[in-house]
Amino acid sequence: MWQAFRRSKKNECSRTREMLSGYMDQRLNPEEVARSEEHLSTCQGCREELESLRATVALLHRLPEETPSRSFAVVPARPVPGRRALPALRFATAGVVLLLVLALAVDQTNIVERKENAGSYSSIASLSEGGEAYWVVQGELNTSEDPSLKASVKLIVPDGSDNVDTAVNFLAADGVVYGAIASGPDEVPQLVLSEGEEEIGSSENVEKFAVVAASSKTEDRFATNDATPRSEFDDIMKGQAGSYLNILSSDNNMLYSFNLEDSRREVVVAQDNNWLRPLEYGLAGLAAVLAGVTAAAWLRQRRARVTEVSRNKN
Amino acid sequence: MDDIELIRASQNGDLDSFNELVRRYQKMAYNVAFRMLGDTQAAEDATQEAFFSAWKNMCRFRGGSFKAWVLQITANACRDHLRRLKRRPVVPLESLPYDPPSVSVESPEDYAIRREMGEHVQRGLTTLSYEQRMAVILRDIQGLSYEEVAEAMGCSLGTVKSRLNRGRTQLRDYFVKMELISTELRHNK
Repeated sequence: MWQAFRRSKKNECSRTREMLSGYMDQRLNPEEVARSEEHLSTCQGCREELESLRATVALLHRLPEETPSRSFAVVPARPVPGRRALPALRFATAGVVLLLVLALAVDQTNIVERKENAGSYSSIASLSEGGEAYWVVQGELNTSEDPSLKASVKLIVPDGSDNVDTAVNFLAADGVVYGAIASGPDEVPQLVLSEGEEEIGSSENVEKFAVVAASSKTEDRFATNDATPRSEFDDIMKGQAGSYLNILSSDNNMLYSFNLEDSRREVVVAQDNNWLRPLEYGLAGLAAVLAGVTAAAWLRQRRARVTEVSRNKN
Repeated sequence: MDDIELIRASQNGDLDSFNELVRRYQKMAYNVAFRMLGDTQAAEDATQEAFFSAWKNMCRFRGGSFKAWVLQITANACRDHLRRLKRRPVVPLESLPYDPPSVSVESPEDYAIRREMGEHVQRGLTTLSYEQRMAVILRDIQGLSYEEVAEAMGCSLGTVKSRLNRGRTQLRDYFVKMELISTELRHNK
């Protein structure tokens, strides 16, 4: 029975102590106040608990009030030089970076190289300096004794160049691209049938052709395998009126004949995108400068935002 | 001009009116921040952040106790500061020097006693959890009503009672251990 009484008292103490804080602050309802006071009148421990809590609060009340060393007034944000320029700088930087990426992409993919030159004329381009104008003549087989030899030939002749290297692309009807040969400045061009850069067959069975400039379709050959006066040959190659290009076999049988005047057209073989390099370097430099200026403006704006509040001492 | 007029003007963008409110409440906000953080510089930073945030968010004040609203923002600023301190601790709180008020009319002896007592109380406060510390500071140091404490802390009255009770009890235990309460009682006699 005594234990039950002690347990009951302990529970009452615990309940009362939980309410002591509210009791001190008069935040209990009348019933809770009455019950607490009834217990406090009989329990020395809880009275001491209440006194110690009151002493704690009294100690807190006695804490001195601190005086801040400055005002916390908010001052208007001063216009920061460059703040308005920041969006423009960002935009400009992004634009330049985009242009740089485009330039790099163009450089890598050769996308601006003319398709016509990119494929069948690529070997031609390597024969001469890039960027020059060329005459391209195209024609059909003049005589078709053997239908399997029907083909179109593209002859690419430098226009107005002192270096009259001549190259021929031989495009057979079956779609096979045969390689071209070029002559030196003082030689008559020789056409060798080949596939790509690889010659077809061995040297014994490779047919050799002479590319012969002529003033007529079938007559007045300027050259076969013999050297032709250079000046006459060049004139023919430049497509003067009445000029023909005849391609003969090694036994002087004519295989192809082209009217240079009728079939010439101008093609610009793309350079090796040399113009892109300075552009890329220029854009990269500009992007770096703009990025630096933008970063500086951003930092300045950030600092200004932090110091937007007053730091003046009282 | 009373607070309501100043608040209305502030909400219309009148910075002078807002700064008048700052002048009225800055000492209270600073003291709460100081007691929460225990460092003058940190308290100044948190108070400044709080008033700057209050200015930016004046349009969100929907009435009620402006004091409680300012203290709520101050409490948030203190909490942010403590989080930053937790991530990048610079100096242990216990080693921070206590900066007594510069102006005092007390005798040097009383001043020394109060200064020592202030240091102990500040250390006792740091033993409480953030919520208990804020409740004790707002109620027992700043003298806010339970309703204002609940508003500033964004909790119910029951939670305020509970936090206060536990905070005071824990603080009392610390004061007894440090013999501050007996000193206090002797002082009262």
